Order: sequence, then structure tokens, then C-alpha cells
Amino acid sequence: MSAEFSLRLSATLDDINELHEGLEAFAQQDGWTSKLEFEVKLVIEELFTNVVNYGECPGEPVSIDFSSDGDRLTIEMADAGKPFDPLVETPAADTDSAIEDRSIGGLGVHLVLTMMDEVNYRRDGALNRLTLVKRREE
Amino acid sequence: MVNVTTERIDDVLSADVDGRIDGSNVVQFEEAVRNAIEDSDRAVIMNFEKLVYISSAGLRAILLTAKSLQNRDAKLLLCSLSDRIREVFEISGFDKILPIHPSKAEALDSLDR
Repeated sequence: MSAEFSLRLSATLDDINELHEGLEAFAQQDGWTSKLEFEVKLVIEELFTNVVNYGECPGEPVSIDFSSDGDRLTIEMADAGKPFDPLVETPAADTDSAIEDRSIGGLGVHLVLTMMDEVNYRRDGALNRLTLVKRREE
Repeated sequence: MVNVTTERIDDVLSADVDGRIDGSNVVQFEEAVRNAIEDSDRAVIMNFEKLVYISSAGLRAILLTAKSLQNRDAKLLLCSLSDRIREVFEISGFDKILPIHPSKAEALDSLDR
């Protein structure tokens, strides 16, 4: 059994709603566990928010394509923001400091890397392309 | 969609958070909490029983709240996290800096009153 789904968003925080609603429908259609649905929503929101905040491409299209078979979910994300490899250019997350010293930078990417099985970046002409893989456990 | 319902129990503010905290509504969440906190509050308990989702945008708001409370020797406590929400707090190392209680009653009991 395989299924596909696409999100066509614009680089604006308002579209986070569309992201959540779209994924909710696809998760239901494709029979995701609530854990898988939660993690994919979170990962996509973190990466999408990075594009909006740091991509310097306000309102430009961001495409996210999901393809799912029984064993794994593959996600392809493309944006026309400035060249940005989140895997390299993000500060290491601070998960240890006391409250007064704790910084929040890098946490989004840390969550992405923890929750996904594979994350790859490449620059393709004018586009940033991320490929993510999540194994289906159920 | 996020709703914050607050009540004051002596000098402790309890905030029940309902819905999801994401990048599109985190400002709403942050303002609702900030506006409810009074300087005389010794602690704030965020009740996440009805919180279904949080991203790093929400974690940032919670950290800022915890920092500002700590600056005046007040505390932030959390209670009633679902497994999913707890996972986000653990991966982020927030469980090391914020006390997490199974229920609001237990969070209240942990404070000397």
C-alpha cells in the first residue's frame, strides 16, 4: 500500500495552520499512529519555520512532498530561500545548561535529527532540497 | 488554536493550556501567560493536560517565561504532560530545568504553602 501527498505553502508563518491541517488529513488517510503524526508535524513545522525566518524569501513557494509505503515515509522539501544547509549551519542545541544560561538556538534541528531516521541536504540550482526518511514502526 | 485559562490559588498562578502551541499562535500563548502573571506570584503552574502539540516555538516561550520568573526567585512548574509532549521536553532537555508533575494537585503540593 502506498500513498502520496503534497503541500504547497508560501513562506509565511500563517501557513503553519495549513501544514497542520494537511498533515492531519493525510495521517488519517494513510493510517499513521498518533506518534508518527505528531513527529512528522513537528519536524515539518521546524524546517518550514527555518525557511520563513532565515531563508530571506518571504511569500515564496515551499513545496513538501510525502510518499509513503508500508515501511517508510519519504519527505522531499524544496524552497527558494538563500542557500542554507540546516544540518551544518545550525548551532548545536543546548540541552544541559541551567535556566539562566540556557539558549534556544538549534533546538528545532535537534528535534528533526532525533525524530527522523535520515536527513539529507543538497543545493539544486536556486533551490534548497531536504530529503527526510522516517521508518514506519507499526 | 490555543486557549489559556488561568486561576490564582493564593500566590500561585495556574494556567490550563488547551490546543496546540505552534509557530503561528505562540505569540498569543506568550501574551496570555505574560498578562496573567502578577509580580506577587511565587510560582506558575502550566497545566498541559489538554495540550496536544508543541514545537520549538512554544519551548522558546516557555523558556523565556521560566527565565523571567527565575529573575525574581519565582518558579515555573509543569504538569499533566501527554507522552508526546513529554518526549519533546525530554529531547530538548527541558525536563532537566523544569519540574514536571503528574497532576496539578501534585505540582501544588510540591510548593511549600
